[in-house]
Amino acid sequence: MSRGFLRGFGAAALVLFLLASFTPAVDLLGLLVIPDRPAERAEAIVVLGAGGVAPSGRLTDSSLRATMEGINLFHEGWAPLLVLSGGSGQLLRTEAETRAEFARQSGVPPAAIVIAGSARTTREEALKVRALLEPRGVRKILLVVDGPGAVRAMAVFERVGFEAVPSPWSESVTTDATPEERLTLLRSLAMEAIARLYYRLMGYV
Amino acid sequence: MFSLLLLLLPVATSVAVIRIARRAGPGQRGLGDAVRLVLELAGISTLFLVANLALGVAIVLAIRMLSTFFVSIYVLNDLSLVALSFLEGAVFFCWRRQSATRSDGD
Repeated sequence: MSRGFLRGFGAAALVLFLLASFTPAVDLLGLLVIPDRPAERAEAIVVLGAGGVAPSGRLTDSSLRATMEGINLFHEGWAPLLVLSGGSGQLLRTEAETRAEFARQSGVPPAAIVIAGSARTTREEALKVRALLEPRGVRKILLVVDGPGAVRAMAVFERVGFEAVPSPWSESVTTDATPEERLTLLRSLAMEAIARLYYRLMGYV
Repeated sequence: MFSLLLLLLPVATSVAVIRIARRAGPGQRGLGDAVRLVLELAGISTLFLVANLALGVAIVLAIRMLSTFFVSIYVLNDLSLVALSFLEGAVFFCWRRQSATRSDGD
């Protein structure tokens, strides 16, 4: 490989790094990609898996935040059912079961909670949730999902027959983020782009 | 928003350049060469990062397809991969330069 090519490639990478860190370019990309629609009334709130359970047996920060978002939506009356998802990991209780206990402690009636454990991917979650909600006649769902993953999750759930309304729980993207926050967002967007490409190739969306 | 970091780098770099130029006197040409070498190192490291990511995705998908194990693609979403790719790039860069220097000497 020639030195000229390597220098050009290196210069492009450094320019991209500087643009991503010190300009609002990534923030604007986030605003374009992450849906920012107001919540709509639905038949169920579905909280997707987000980080699982820590070795201590407690929910991880991201999982807890998503669960709290779902509980808040439930208490505000956006839907009568709260579906909590999240696979098993290596612990005795699944993320979904741990979330359900937290929801009960937060005042959600047990009859309103649906546990959708054991799914490992967004597609598996969609199939699992469909198996649980189809017999109840639920079609319109409010999807609580991390910001960058919202578009793919919506497409996957709509593919299996739901009408999905997004409720992204990530902190809202602003144009005055710190360089580190911007790089973190860029990383999330890049991973999501890879995941979306894979889902498209597999025909899941 | 104005970032303090953007002010720190040019100031620290300028001070270092002035001091070193006064002591050792590498001149402007030496600095230009150094910038070109850094760009080359950045290019090699970025190539390694892209290659590592592509290989990682391929391995994760192969494990999922060929076995009953499940590996999340998010294992690749780790900052240490950037640092390791930079180290790979640095070693490869030094090795390339050493080889070039040896062949120039022969």
